[in-house]
Amino acid sequence: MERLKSILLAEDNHMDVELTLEALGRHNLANDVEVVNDGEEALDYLHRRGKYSSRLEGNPAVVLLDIKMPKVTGLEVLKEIKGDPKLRMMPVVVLTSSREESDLIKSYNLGVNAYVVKPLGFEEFVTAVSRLGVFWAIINEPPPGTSSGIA
Amino acid sequence: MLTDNTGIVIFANAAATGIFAHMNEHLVGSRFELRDRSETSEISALIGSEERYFEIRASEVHWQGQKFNLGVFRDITRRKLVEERLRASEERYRHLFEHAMLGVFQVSVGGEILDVNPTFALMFGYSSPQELKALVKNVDSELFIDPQRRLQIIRRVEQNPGPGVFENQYRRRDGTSFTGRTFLHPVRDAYGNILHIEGFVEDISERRKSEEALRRSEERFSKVFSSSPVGISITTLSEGRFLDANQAFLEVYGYVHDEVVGRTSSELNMWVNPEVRERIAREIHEKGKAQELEVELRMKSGELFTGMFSAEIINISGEDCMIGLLRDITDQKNAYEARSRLAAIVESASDAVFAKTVDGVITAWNHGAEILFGYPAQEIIGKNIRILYSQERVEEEERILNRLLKGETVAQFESVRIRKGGEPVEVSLTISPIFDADKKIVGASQIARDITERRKSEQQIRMLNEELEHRVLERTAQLEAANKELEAFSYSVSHDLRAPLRHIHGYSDLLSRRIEGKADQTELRYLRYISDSVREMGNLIDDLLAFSRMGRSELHKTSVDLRKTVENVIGLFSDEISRREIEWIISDLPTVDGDSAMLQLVFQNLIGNAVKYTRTRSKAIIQIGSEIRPDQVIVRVNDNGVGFDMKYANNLFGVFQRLHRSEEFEGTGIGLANVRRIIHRHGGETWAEGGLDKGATFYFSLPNHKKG
Repeated sequence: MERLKSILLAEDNHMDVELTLEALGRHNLANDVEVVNDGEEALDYLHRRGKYSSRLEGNPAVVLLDIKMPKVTGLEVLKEIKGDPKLRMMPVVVLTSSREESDLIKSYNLGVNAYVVKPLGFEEFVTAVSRLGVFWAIINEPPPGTSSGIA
Repeated sequence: MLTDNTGIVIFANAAATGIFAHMNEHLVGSRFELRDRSETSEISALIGSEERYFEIRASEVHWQGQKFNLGVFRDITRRKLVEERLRASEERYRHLFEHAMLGVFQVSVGGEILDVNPTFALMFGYSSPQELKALVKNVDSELFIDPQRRLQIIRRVEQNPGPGVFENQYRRRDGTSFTGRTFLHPVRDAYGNILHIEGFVEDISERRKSEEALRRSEERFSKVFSSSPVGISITTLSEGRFLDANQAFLEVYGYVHDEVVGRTSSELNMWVNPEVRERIAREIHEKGKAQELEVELRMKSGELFTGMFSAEIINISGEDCMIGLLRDITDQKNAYEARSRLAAIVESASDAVFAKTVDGVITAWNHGAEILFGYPAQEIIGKNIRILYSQERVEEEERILNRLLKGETVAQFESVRIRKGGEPVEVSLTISPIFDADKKIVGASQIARDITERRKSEQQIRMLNEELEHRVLERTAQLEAANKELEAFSYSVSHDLRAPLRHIHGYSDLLSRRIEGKADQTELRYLRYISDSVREMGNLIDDLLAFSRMGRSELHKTSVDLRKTVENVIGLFSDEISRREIEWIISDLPTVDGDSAMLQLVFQNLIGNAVKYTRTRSKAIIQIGSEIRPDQVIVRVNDNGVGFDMKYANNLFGVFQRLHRSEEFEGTGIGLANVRRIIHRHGGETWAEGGLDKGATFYFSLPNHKKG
């Protein structure tokens, strides 16, 4: 079986975290998910600083990024990722409640790799999130320097 | 008759007795002195009632030693009368001769002056006939200008037995000449030889002169008459019959000479008011003339004109006539009227209008000028225009004048002038040169307008503009802020409202999984209702956000083929359509200018509604058509569905307005609100017609940009 690659989920709402993990779990993708609760934490994680300074080197296979987050928003995180030579190749998927046109434009301008609106109905939500997990964590070939899961 | 030596009549014959019968019955024996009488003497006697004259030839006769006196009477009454007449006649002629106004003369054929009268002498410059006779030695050279002339006349007279008339140039004593008209009568003897010539001379120099003057005058008059630019007519006073008319007169009326002469002015219908002619004729008759009367006259063509008419009475061959002078003053009158009109316009103009000479002397000044500058016309006309200038602007007049002299017009020149009383006034001036007939600049006309008010208005407009701009900026900022707020609002709605719903849905789903098998039907139904409500809420939020976006997003106008759009939209409903029997009747649809995606949404809503609300029909008929008007395109979507009550027609297009329960027909009630918003943003209108169970027709209009 293919080695599972790690997923970084940046999501401030604990219910969303739980529902997302539930969805990923239904396809056995929940184990290698690292959850951060705001943009700042996400960046700390990626830059291996603060409480993440001791984590192993290597980028996640994909970042599932909520846009509306306290402190540092998802878009700001995205901007920093895509502006950083060490991070920019890492796939980032915006996973958000809305399909606001302005968010779409900004995200794609910043170089987002995918933009997914969380469906309202839970069945659709599960389908969408699990497909995402399958695609990015299993099917997609990540760029070099991607950590190969949490050992 | 025989008397004795004592004078006693001793014998008288019958004739002699008859002579004395009236005074003495018995002549014999009466005394009649013959002795003292000369050889012949005369007596007069009354015979009957007639006085008769007798010649007495007395002589002494001796008979028988006695001396007697014999008297022979001869009736000489007849001779006496002739003699008396002759004497009187001679007396008269002598008188005439002496006192005649004519010069009377008697000359011999040889040229010797026999007798002249005093007039003759005076005529030739001599004080008396005696002086003339004494001084004039040679008649031919001293009394005639041409010394040969007298002999020529004599020869003529010799050839013609009767009297003759000659005109000669005579010489006066001082050498000057005069024209004499000379009547000659040769006095001949019984054999026809001319004894002498008598006659008289009339100095006709003066008459000649006046005749010449008259002739010239007539000639002049005739010339004036025929060539005068003033129309002249001669008509009878009583009935206005034309005796003559000159060319100018005929031209004014458009007649030729023969059409006028011999006819009357009333026959020719010349007077617009015939009573005017009557009045003029009366006036002429009373005063002898009429002067400068303005009269309305009619031409041959019927056209009317105004004439200036003057006339005087003249007598021609005993008839009172009127010689009339006529000028067509229509043009003059029109020009006068035009000038009066212009003058009135200038006078009544609210702008100040005035004129000045090159030297700056004011020559005209209207009422507007009085109001603007405060000076009445009579006060300022004749004054220099500098009176209107302040000290520091006096040289401005010089500069303006220089520009005018170059032929320029100074237009809308803004400056300051001084009113009477010294108050300055802001004016806009337009100054034009005034030319004389030789195109020489003789002055300038000025139009001045008080621009104080305008200045104030301009200032006000500027302030209002600034304020308006400011307010527009403010409003724009407010609007932008409102838009930003709205955007932020809908942004947070779309994120923050959906998340809890998702969570409700998610957890109710998780809950239903956890209690699966343990929950009863009612518990499961509750959970299902929660899920359904969440979905509905989600739809409402999505619709509301879409509607809000519709109002804010920009229109991307292109050419949109509505027929293709309709076909696309019908394609979207293929699922439902395939399950139903629907007849589509789609007529011609135009191509319009608009936002393709939005117009597609319009049809999506309208066709979606048509499909939805015909669901209860076994066979649905949906018709889509259009009407193209000059200024707009009207599109309609008609169905044979459940329709609606027209009293709710106004509610149809409101947000979340529904005429059916969702159990009957699903929907959020945002569709037609979107249709209306889209159509409004395209500059069109929406409306609907229908009836309960009678189907519905929805209309929308769009501006027709392809006019013509």
